[in-house]
Amino acid sequence: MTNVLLVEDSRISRMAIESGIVASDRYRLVASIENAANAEIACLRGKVDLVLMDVCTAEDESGLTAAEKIKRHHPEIKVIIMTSMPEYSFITKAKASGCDSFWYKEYGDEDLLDVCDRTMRGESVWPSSTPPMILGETDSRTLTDRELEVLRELAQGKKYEEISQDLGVTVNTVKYHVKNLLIKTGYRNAIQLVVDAVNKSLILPKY
Amino acid sequence: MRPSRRGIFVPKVPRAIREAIDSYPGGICLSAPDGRVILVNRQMNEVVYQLVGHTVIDAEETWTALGAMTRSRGCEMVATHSSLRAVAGDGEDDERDDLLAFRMSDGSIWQLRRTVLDDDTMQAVQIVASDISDLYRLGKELSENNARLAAFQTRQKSLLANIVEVNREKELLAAKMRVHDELGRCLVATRRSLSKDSLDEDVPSLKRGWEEVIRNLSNLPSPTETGRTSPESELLRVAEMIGCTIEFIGEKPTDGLVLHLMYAAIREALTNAVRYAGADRLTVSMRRDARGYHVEISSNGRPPEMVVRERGGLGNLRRRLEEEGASLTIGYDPGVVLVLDIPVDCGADGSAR
Repeated sequence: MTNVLLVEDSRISRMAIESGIVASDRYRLVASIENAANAEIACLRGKVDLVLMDVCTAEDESGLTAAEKIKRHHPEIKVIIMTSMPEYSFITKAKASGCDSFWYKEYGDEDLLDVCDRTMRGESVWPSSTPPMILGETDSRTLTDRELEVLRELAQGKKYEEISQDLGVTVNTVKYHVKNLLIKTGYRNAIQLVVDAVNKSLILPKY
Repeated sequence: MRPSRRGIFVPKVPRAIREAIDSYPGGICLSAPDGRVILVNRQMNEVVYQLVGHTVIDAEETWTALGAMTRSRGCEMVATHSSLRAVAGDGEDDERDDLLAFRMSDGSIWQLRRTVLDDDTMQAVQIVASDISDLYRLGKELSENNARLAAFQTRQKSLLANIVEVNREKELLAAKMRVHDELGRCLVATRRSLSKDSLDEDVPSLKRGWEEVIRNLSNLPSPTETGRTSPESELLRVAEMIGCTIEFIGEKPTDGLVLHLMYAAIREALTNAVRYAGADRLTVSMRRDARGYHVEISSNGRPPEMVVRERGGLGNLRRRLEEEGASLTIGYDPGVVLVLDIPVDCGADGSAR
């Protein structure tokens, strides 16, 4: 029997996932919590084998940060990141944190219990890409990694000078990327672009 | 050069030089330190005449009159020394120079710069008048654009801070409406069937309907409706799960940010006390005074074998506290004690959650 810790602050999602785990004869729910910052504590005394971790949890605590801590101290615990947000950086961050698998709640045909089974057998299950998102006149897949990085920095309310320092490029290069973003999306200014990107959860500045 | 009555040499200006200087489009005036004019061209006299009603007779008195003038004869002072530097952004600027700028009756902007020329042989004062209408207009536009950008950025930050919440509410509302509609449809159908004499013929379709509702519930897009569990009760529950109790002594803070910081510190202390010291009890002592909250977090774990090094978790906690104006001290009694001092106005710089 695999002991599962569920970290999920959406009540409806939590209920649905809990009911799936309870109905399974392979998994036992040891705790269901809302705040990712408490997950590391729950994993301290060997009572958890598998963590189902949402990214955006209560009090804005990041599931990715919590997952990184858990994997650093307890590499034997499997962690599956779950999200409904098409944020472009989540898959990369989850891989960098050492997570074992990744499941989109709303995209793709994967069933969560199937992902859990495969993960517990030692397989890593990752979506091939972030779900595409229409952004103005373009599709988020047409944006380069650098453009997305600039967009994230803009969404954090940073000035061009600050962005250039963060990314190690000149201010003119930042302006060049912003200009390309505006040309691709057809937006008149950066604020329209950023609002749409955040609105569609392509960028979540807090995570 | 000829000797002046005060022993200062005042140069005699040949006619050719004067004509050349008069044809210069800007104004120029050279004078002795006491104000006696050595050289002044036509443009300078015209500018000064428009502003103060006479030509340059005594350069120092003229400069004093210009500095005192605010508005007269259709002209007005638009900038003084410091503001002019900010607006015009003159690359040749020298901190020792005095600057004045005026809008003339024809709308043009003239800047007057007074410079003391000083070398080993003589001392003189130079006043130069330049038409900076274009530069002033561009500087003004730049200044206005910068102010607009600053306001824009403030609005952007505020908008971004709220937009995630707005999205969550929208998602939640949409999900509730879907659940409501589906459940309502099934309930109405079930009620209608129950009112009939026989259910047999309706059972398969009702079953399919309810299965559909359950399936839809399971596949609901995840509205981020947060639960009702308080941060403290969840923390206590998780601590209990790993066989640890947390005892609170004293008056608990009520401010959300203070609580948030305190719980972050308790989590860090609990993790370290269990992982490294084998603790099963944590004590949180809280005291409030006029300056703020004093919180001490200790455990019944083993004392550390060496001084605690601030890496990862503790380092992050210190940063988080200090960002909000609070402080962290690590003590030993003999186990590790985390001491927090959280001021009443923590997060007052707008960082409050």
